[in-house]
Amino acid sequence: MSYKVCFLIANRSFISDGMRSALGLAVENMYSYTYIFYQKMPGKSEYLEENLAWIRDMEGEFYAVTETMDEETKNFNLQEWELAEATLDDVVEKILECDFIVGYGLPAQKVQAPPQCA
Amino acid sequence: MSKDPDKLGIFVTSPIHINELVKIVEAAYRKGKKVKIFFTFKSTHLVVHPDFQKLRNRIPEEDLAICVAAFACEGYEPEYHNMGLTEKQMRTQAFHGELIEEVGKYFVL
Repeated sequence: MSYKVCFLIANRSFISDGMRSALGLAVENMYSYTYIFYQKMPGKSEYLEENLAWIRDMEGEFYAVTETMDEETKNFNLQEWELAEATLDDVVEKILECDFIVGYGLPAQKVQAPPQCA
Repeated sequence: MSKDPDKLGIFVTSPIHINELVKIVEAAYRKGKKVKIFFTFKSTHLVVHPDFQKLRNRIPEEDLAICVAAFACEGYEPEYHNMGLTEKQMRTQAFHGELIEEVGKYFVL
């Protein structure tokens, strides 16, 4: 059965691996939809770009929930990464449509990531 | 693999819920249920947590696995740091797909 699975990622550190996990289900013939909250996507790399393209090939999608993002984060996610844009209402709709919901990783951090994270 | 209504699937993505995980597994077994667990990304650090052995010893080999790629990405040497996990328990994200197909109930920690 082709389940629909929704990944919700709010913590910066978990975006890359969340994408890999979402792809893992997409290649298992599940519809895999991922929503990024608050955070800027990691720097682009061939590996991550290939993963995103593959998810889309498998009829999944990667969304930026832009109303949770500041302007710089939103622009980076939409322009540099060309993520699809979603509202919180869209997220709710998709959650209701999906068979499985994966709150991936830790909640969002209140602190700004220090430079050492780079 | 068909759905097993008596099997609980747990997808572990974060490293902070080991106490709850052990208690949930114990509670499930007390109720005569089965569990199937997959650890990915930062949760693979739990392999070296003392309580992880309670899970490894309790859960059948085919129902407990970690993502070996994530384990290696986190700096471990799978061959030496596996803490008794077998080759069959060093899996890919496909195990998560199998888990979803197989379990009656599912949640994420």
